[in-house]
Amino acid sequence: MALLEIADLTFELAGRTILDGITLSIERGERVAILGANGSGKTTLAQWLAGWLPNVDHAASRGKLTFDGREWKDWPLPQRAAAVQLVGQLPVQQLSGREFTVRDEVAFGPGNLGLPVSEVSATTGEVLELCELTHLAGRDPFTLSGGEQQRTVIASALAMKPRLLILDEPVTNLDPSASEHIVRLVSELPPDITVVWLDTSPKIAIEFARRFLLLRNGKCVVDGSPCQVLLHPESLATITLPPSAQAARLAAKAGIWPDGLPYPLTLQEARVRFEQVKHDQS
Amino acid sequence: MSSLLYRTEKGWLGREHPLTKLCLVLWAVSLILIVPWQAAAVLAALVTALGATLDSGISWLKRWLLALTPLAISLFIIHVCFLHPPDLLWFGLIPVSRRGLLESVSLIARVAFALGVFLLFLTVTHPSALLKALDAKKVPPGLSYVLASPLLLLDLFAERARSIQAAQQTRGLSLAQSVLSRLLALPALLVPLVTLGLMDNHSRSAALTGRAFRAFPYRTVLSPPPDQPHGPILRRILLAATVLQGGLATWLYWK
Amino acid sequence: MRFSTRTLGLISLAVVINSIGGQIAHWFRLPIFLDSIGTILAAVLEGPIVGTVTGLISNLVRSLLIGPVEAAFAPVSMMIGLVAGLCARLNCFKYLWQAVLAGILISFALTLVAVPIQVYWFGGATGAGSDVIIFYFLHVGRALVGSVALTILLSNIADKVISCVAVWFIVRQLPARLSGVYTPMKTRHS
Repeated sequence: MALLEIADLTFELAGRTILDGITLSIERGERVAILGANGSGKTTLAQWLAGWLPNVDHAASRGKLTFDGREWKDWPLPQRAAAVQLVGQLPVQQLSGREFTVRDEVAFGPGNLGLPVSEVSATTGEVLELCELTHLAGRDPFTLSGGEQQRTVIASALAMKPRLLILDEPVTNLDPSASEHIVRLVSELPPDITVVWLDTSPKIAIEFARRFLLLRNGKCVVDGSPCQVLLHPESLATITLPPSAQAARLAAKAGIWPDGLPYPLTLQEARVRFEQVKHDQS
Repeated sequence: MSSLLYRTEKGWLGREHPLTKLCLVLWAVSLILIVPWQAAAVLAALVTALGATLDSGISWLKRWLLALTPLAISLFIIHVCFLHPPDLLWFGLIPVSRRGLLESVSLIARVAFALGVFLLFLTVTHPSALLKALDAKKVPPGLSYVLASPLLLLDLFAERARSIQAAQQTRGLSLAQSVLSRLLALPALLVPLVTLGLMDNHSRSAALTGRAFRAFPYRTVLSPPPDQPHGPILRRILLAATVLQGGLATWLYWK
Repeated sequence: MRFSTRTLGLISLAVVINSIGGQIAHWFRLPIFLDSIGTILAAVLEGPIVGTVTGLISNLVRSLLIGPVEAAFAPVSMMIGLVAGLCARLNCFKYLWQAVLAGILISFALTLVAVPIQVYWFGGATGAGSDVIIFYFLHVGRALVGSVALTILLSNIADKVISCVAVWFIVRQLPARLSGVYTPMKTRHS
């Protein structure tokens, strides 16, 4: 049984269809990237994956989502919180607003589960170290920089020991250095944590995701390997390719790139393929 | 969070459990309802002496005087100069009432003591310590949340308000006009501030639920304030005394 | 009764708005307090019970920032929230004139609560600038209770009317997806 299964999920809001017949399954340990332009339904899908939807105000018009074989409505809140965590775009909206230090902020979630003090303390210490926040443990979370706040939010999510971690455009508002920190953190997560990364561009997810999906107008239009998805005509029309692929595309337009040679998606692929093109040309 | 009255206190008062300090305040405030004003004046003097021994004594004294002085002056003027017919001439010039003088001194002594004790409590108790103490005693987590959250969000919102105002001014909003124009310009700041705040709240409440907030009627607290061995029994005694004193004050009032 | 987490967040937001209301009035150089605008907003969006609780929490939080006298006047803020919430429940925040009327009603209601606190606990004074108005009324022969009542009413009526009108305007401008989730608003839209 897959960890998460979505069958024909359709969701409407204010008369508009946000998700339209989404069907997909995610296995344990997968690293998945879901790409889509603004307004494609990414954030709504992220909320469904995390169990934030359905809620008292909103429900699906069709289809269903199950995690470990059960719909979210059948999951008691403590179990759901320990199973899946969502990290969004704006860290300031995700800080609890209850805790006066980073340490307490990270301990907030496990504390809500009523776990023993020793367990909460041990988990908090581990996660602070993992997210390179130990030196900031005594700081007020609202006085941190954007990147530090986002690492705090990720740490708070990891402290719940989720089986599925969803990150919805987590580095959009961060500078390159802070962004790099986050990417390194996510890339180095233990393999038993399933990760879903949602973004408008594959530039970051290409570093660690082995499966890509493209979302357009609430529909999943392509699903497959990075190569299959990113070089698909739908993707070329919708999202920005990684810089290496863009360079190859320009070369193809100039008549330099051989037909049939796939565009490189990573720096390593670019090194090999551009060398090959250069060799073939000389 | 620069706006709190709290100052770091390493002395015994700073180390005492926050709930014990709160019970002391409640007992002290109910005490002044039943003691004669002379006793309240002595208590106020004792509080001043205690405040002076604190590491943060200067800060406490400044706050106390800032809060008490205008109040004392107003009380004095109201009771001495207006409320009762004058029967004394100060410096041969100012007609004052002896009865009013007594009333104002009585009121000032009581207010001085209550203010002093409360300010002492706020000066030596960080809100986070008090709220952790409440959580550790299994008070519903929602209560500590609504007390903590505004303190943490205040600086953020103040900064946001300043940014919105600056942005509106670059778009032509002028604060140099008439009162009516300035009133009509208020929504230009308030609408975006409130809208952003509600959007934040929408997201934050979902994030809180996602982290199992209020999944149980109590939470585990990391590093709660340590309780002294005498703490629990002292709090019970203080609370019982508060209730008795409050009851006595009510009985005396109706009598 | 258990408030939802979103309602707790609204109460916190309202308390923050109350706290910076005074700063905003200062920037705009307006002779009003704007320190109850958040309470009125919470009351209009979620009703009188939430409004009352917001008033209480607001004064408790203010006492941590300004001083303990704020805690003593908590019943006044609670009354503001209660009356604003009742007005909203009776659909009396739909039109501008209703918001003005609500502001006047709130001013009278808060005066009823504030006078006993100010007279019997604080001897008639607060230490604020408005005490000068009390001196004037005492000087022209009014009794203490009457002087305090008139002063409180006069110093609050403009502020509460403006606050209610501001809340009326803010709520009208809110996108439906934000305002529509709150209870009295749901009643109005249905």
